[in-house]
Order: sequence, then C-alpha cells, then structure tokens
Amino acid sequence: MKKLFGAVSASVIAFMLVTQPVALMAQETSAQKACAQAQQDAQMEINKTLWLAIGFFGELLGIAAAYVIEPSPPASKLIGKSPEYVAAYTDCYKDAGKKIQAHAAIKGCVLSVLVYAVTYGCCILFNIGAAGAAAAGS
Amino acid sequence: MEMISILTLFFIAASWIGGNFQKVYKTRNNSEVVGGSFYKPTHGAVSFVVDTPVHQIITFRQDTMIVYYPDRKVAFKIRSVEDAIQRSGFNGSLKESIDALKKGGYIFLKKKINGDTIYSYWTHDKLKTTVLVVYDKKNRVYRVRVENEKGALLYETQANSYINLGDTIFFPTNLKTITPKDTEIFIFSHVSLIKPDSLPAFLKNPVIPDSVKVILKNFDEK
Repeated sequence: MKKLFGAVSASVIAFMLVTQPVALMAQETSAQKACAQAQQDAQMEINKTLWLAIGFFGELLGIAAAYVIEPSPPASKLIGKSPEYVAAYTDCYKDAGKKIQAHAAIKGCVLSVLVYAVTYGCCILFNIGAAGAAAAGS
Repeated sequence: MEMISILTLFFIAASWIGGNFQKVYKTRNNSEVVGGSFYKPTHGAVSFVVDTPVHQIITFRQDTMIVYYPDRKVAFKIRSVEDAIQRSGFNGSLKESIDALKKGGYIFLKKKINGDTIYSYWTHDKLKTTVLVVYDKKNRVYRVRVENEKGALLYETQANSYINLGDTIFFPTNLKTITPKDTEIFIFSHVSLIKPDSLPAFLKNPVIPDSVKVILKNFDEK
C-alpha cells in the first residue's frame, strides 16, 4: 500500500514537474500576445495630434501631463478575454500609450520652442536692421 | 390623451436598450467567438455580460471601467480620463459619431445627397486622413470609412439591418469593423427597450463582494 502511495506520489510530482513549466509557458505566451496586441492598439487609438497640441501649448506642463495621464484600453478589446489577458493588456497599453503621448508632447514642446526662437530671432534682426537704418539716416 | 401619457412614461422608464450579442473576431490565422448580452442606456456607454468563453461583466461607473469575473472571483477597476462612451467602443447615434469626429480634430469638408442617402466627408490636416460617413434622413449611420492620403483603407465600420425601437430609436443588428489586419463582426439579436428594473443585478448596483480580489489599474496618481 505504502509502495503504491509512493508510486502515485512520485507520478503526481513528475506530472506536476512536467505540466507546471508548460502551464507557465502558456501563460507567458498569452501575456506576450496580449502585450503585443496592446502595443499595436495603442498606436492606433492614442490621439497623437491632441498630445502634440498639448506639448505645443503646455510645453513642460504638457510633457508632464503626458507622463501622468494614463491611457486605458477600450472595452471592446477586453470582451471575452481572460483575467490574465486583461491584466497584461491593460499594463502594456498604459506603458505603450504613455510613451506615445510623451513622444508627441515632446515634439510639440520642441516645435513651440523653435517657433519662439525664430520669432525672437526675427524680432532681434528687425530691431538691428531698424537701428542700423536709423543710424545711417542720422 | 391617457394613451399618450402612458407611452411617454414607458419611453422615459425604458431608457435602456438590451439584447443578445455575438462577436466574431477574425484575423488571417485566428478566429474567436464571444457571446452574451448587452445593455446600453439611450445616451451612454454600453455594458456587456459575457457568457462564453468566460463569464465576464464589463460596465462603467463615472471615470472607471469595471471588468468583473464572478466565477474567477476577480475584478479589475480601470480608471481613465477618457469619455466612457468612446471607451465602450460604440457610437450608437449619428450625433455620437459626429461628436467623436469633432473631438478627434476632424473638420467637415463637404456633403453629398443622393435620394435618402447622405454622404458626409471629413478631413484631418495633421493625420492626413479622410472620413466618409454615410447615413440616411432618419440619421441612421450605415458606414464610416477612414482612409489615408493615398486612399487606402485604415478602418471601416458598416452598420446594417436596423430595427425600429420607437419613433426615433433605431438600432443596427449587424455591425462589422474592417481593418487591413482583422475583421470584427457584432451580431445583435432579441434587441428591445428595457426598463432599468429588468437590468442584471450587478449593472443596477455594481458592488463587488468582499470575497472578490479587486485589481486597480491607472489609480497610481490618486
């Protein structure tokens, strides 16, 4: 009886040793799949123009907002998915979305600085030109 | 007179549309089928009660989307600053579709009328995309097509087989979304106006039991 119990235990342990990594691998694959899909969806769904405008007008505050505001996935992407998929998808969507938001906001901010610099430069050149013309006239 | 007031009272009370749905998602190598029921207030975000392949409830409260698995004893609360109607993934009416376009930075370009059908064209300067919205004089949207500057398809939604749920309430029983990579088809059946009393208990009062593990997402900055 003891022998039989030992054999059963051994086979259960052997079965667990074989199946556990397989189950873990399946979970990993599902999470990886969810993550890849989330990154692809974030690219499609996040409004880059809006974040470019926020960066342009908000400058550093706009960039800060892009890092703070966390995008969340649309419900239609989560219908019928397992809790594991929802967990991985939501995290990856948030991370990918924040990167996209921040990238667009930084672009907007740089654009805003360039516009200021060009305007300021033009003003200086205009003033120098005007001062030169005034000096030549006198 | 009494008849009119009874009807008016019914339509005020029956402020939800409900029915069954089947979602078929297809890619080149994969196909998924999801089934269950849906509940949509006439102006608001849609909630889903999924039966297959998992028992799952998705609903919205203020800025939070709740994804609840009663059998698995786990729920997600996902917070967002975005509009719940947008997040639920369905713009039921023409007004909601047009509002979404305006919010997304699209500018109205032109309108063509051919009999009962109206073709409305929109453009986005920065994204270099154009949108065609096809609807009829009863404001039923049949097609929303998004193309890039070269005229290639980015996204198209087709709504067909509308049913009339009242004087001005129309509901498409077939909704198909096509992208270059995948196709998503929603088939709605047994669609009717329902009273809030007939909603599933969790949608009426979304209180998650203490025995359920609640995972908060996007609550970091609070």
